[in-house]
Amino acid sequence: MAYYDSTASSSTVWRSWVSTDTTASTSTSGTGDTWYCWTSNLACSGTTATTISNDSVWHTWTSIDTAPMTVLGEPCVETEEELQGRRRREEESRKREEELRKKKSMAEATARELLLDLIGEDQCKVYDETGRLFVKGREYDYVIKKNGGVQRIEKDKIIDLCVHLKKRWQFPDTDNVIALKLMLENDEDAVNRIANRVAEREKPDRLSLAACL
Amino acid sequence: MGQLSILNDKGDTKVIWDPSNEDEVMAASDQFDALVEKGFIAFAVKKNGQQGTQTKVFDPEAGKIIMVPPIQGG
Repeated sequence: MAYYDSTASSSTVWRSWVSTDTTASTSTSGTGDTWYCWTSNLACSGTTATTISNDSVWHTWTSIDTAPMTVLGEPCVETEEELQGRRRREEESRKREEELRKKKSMAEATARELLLDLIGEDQCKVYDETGRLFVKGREYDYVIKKNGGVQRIEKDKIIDLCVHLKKRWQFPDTDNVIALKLMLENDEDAVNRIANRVAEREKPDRLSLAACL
Repeated sequence: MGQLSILNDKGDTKVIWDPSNEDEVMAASDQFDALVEKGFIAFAVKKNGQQGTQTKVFDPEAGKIIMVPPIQGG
């Protein structure tokens, strides 16, 4: 191997190792030569490298147009058409939700009218305020809660029951209250048989206010 | 006038009949039977809190009847 360099630098040995041209000479060589060789085809096949910066390897690693590399993801830019489409879908979704909310509200108002027929204006006001309806069964008393659940009031304890209309979510809350009121007044045993017992606790000195007859 | 209130997602749907009108009574009776077959329970009710009474046969003179879908434990 005949290799010499007039301005030997610490990188010359690397150049020797990686260069196929062992007779090459170079006049100026930066400390980035080795990296340049590793990353540049030119340096490995050529005989001289004159200007090499220390960050050339980083440039190679990170620049799209100088070397093949993996780019993780592209910036997502929405076209005008896509933007319009998204806005249209959002608006449609908002309208559907609003329509559903109105329907539920109307259904609840209709159910309340039916309850009003059953328990009268005064008690309906209490029901509006408390969301509870007191029902007298043959054996026990009950409190039906508008937002779900029934409390069975026994001599010294309260039993929380979970019982409701099948597919309850389809019905307004007050329909559920009406159904349970009628069922408890007529077939208390059947309701207690169907209901799941959720919890049991001591009966408080005073029960919460509820609409009653 | 008789009234059948069927509980549903709209609150309820009402079917009204005139007890002296045979066709209307027949239509209401058919609807009553169809719902009972589906598992609905019928309650004849009075106004202002008087307890409703479960009924299994359609009575055109019952006044107001509420049809309740089946219940289940949660």
